[in-house]
Amino acid sequence: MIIQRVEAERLHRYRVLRLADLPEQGIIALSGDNESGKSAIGEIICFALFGRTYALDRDRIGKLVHWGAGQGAVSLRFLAKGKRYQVSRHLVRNGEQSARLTLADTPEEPLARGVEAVDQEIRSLLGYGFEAYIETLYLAQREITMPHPKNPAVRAMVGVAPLERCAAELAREAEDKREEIVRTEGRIAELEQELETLSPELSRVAEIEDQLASFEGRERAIVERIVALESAGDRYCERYRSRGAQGLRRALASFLASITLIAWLGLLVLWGMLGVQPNRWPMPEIRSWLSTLTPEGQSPETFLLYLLTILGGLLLLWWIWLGILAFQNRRRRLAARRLSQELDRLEALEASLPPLGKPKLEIPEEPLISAAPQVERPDAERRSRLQQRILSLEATAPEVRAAIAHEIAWLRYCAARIRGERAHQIAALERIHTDQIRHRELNRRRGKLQSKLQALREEVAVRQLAQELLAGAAQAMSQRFREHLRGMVSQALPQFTEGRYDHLDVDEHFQIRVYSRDKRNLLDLDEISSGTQRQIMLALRLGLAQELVSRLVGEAQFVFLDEPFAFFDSRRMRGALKTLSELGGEVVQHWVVAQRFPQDAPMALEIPCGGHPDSLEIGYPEMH
Amino acid sequence: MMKLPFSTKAKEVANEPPSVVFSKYCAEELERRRDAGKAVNERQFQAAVALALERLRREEGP
Repeated sequence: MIIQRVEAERLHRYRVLRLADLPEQGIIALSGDNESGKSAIGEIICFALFGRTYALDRDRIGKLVHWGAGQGAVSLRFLAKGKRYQVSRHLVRNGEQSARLTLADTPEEPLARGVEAVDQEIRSLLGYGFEAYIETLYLAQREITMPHPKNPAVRAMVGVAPLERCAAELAREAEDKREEIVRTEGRIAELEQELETLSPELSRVAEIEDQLASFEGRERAIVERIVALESAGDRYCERYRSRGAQGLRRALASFLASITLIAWLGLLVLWGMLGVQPNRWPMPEIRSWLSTLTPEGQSPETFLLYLLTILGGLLLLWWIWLGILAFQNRRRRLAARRLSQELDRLEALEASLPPLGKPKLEIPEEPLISAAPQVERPDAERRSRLQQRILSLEATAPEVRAAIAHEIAWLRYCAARIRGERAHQIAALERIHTDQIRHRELNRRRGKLQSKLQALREEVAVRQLAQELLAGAAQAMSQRFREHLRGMVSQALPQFTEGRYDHLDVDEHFQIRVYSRDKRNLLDLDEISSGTQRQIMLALRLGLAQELVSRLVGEAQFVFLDEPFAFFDSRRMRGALKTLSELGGEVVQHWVVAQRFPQDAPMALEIPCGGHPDSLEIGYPEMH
Repeated sequence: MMKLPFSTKAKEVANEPPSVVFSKYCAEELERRRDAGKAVNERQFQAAVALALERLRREEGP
């Protein structure tokens, strides 16, 4: 950017300031005594470009208005990116300002209006902002120090600003992700805590299922025993009822069978004797007696044979009756044995029943085991005595019925208790199944969170590494920048110091040491005179300015140096001006402020200030 | 006229976008880490380089 024209009214010490036909290359020398308005020109140029100055920020910029005036204005024409622009600002003493940017050839068509819009457009056109301008292109009278290495303008110049912005963005992201990691770890810990409360129950599933199977088996066995006991008891009682006249019937049948047998045997002997020895006594008398009993036409032997057949038939009948009675008795004993066996089985069954006590859960209704009031356990000794009586068929039906009713009531009670236990276990199993579902869900969520945690940790690690790499690259760029700057300044330095210092070292904090040919050693700045310090800093500042222009501007540029030779003697000042005019690069328009310039100094234009108390007009033919 | 190195080389260096400078640095850094004999998680390294490059290119604009 090259300044072509400056016009100002009622700003700083000037009621009128008009500088035109300014040379685009070379030294523009602003000369004059103290308080002659040389530095004011630099401040007015700065205000025109950025709406503020080195000394007055936006809050205090109203003080730039000329004393006694309420408002002021400036218009600056400059060349940038191959076009001529004109920026105009109007300033009120209270600090209010307006701004406008136009192409110089079409002032009626503003490119930007308003302070913010103009500032933004100026920054875009120039390639740098106020900070960079102050740090490099504008050397204030009071300031001759190096910029701070952390200064944003310097960082931008070094080229690390984008890297640092990226690193800062990544650091923020990493921090966010670390916080998310902490939250995720907390959530996982909560899940694991909940999982621990579920896990012990899960191991009981097999045990509970075994218990359930066992309970089902016991309940089934009890039901079977109840049915069998009822059946055996009924059968015993039924048999017992029919036992009432069995003794008499059996005695009668035995008596009749015995009598019939004796009679049949007697008749058989008689029939045999009549056939074998019919004439032996008393057979003839018996035959005659039988003849009286025998019907006409039949022999006594035949008659006897009939009788034998009839008696044989009777005898067979009595035996059948006895057999039937014996069979019935056998069945009765069989029923008694079955009943006894059932009672024995009860003994074995009782050993596997749960202990007595109140059921843990409400007992569900069941047709077979509907009512289950608390029942005293039957006495084993009484049961044993009853068994003996049953086996000997002495136990009466009512007695057996009462005992069996007690046994069945007891069994039902036990079955109900088992059912209660089973219901309890089923409920427990259902709860565990619910827990299992919950456990699986929690496990799934934990797995997802762990995957997320792993991904977050990886993302943090990647961001940390990216930050390290960005920092390393920034350091390398800074190192390269300093080496480059050192190389440039070291070659300009002998010209500014008349060959006494020709090598410069810039560390990472921008601390400077110079190599003295005389002392053959690197010296800190405080080891050399203030005049030489300013010479060195001037060389360095020009190097920085060139670096800024090379990196961010890329075209011809002006610098404003306010009293850079304040401590220079005339010989050294002449040499410095000569060096300045011969510097290569894009910095071609040098505004230099000094009280006096040597006669033979290589100046493109000298603007003597202080000729008039509050006005200065140079090269403004169209006004006249 | 005395020639001072205030332009050409600086321009070349300055014209390199930060992403290009960063890429070169990362390539050198990766070689340096390999040569250092330490275990290098190359996948993570490449991911970090890609992430930083993506951000830098976004900074640089189209």
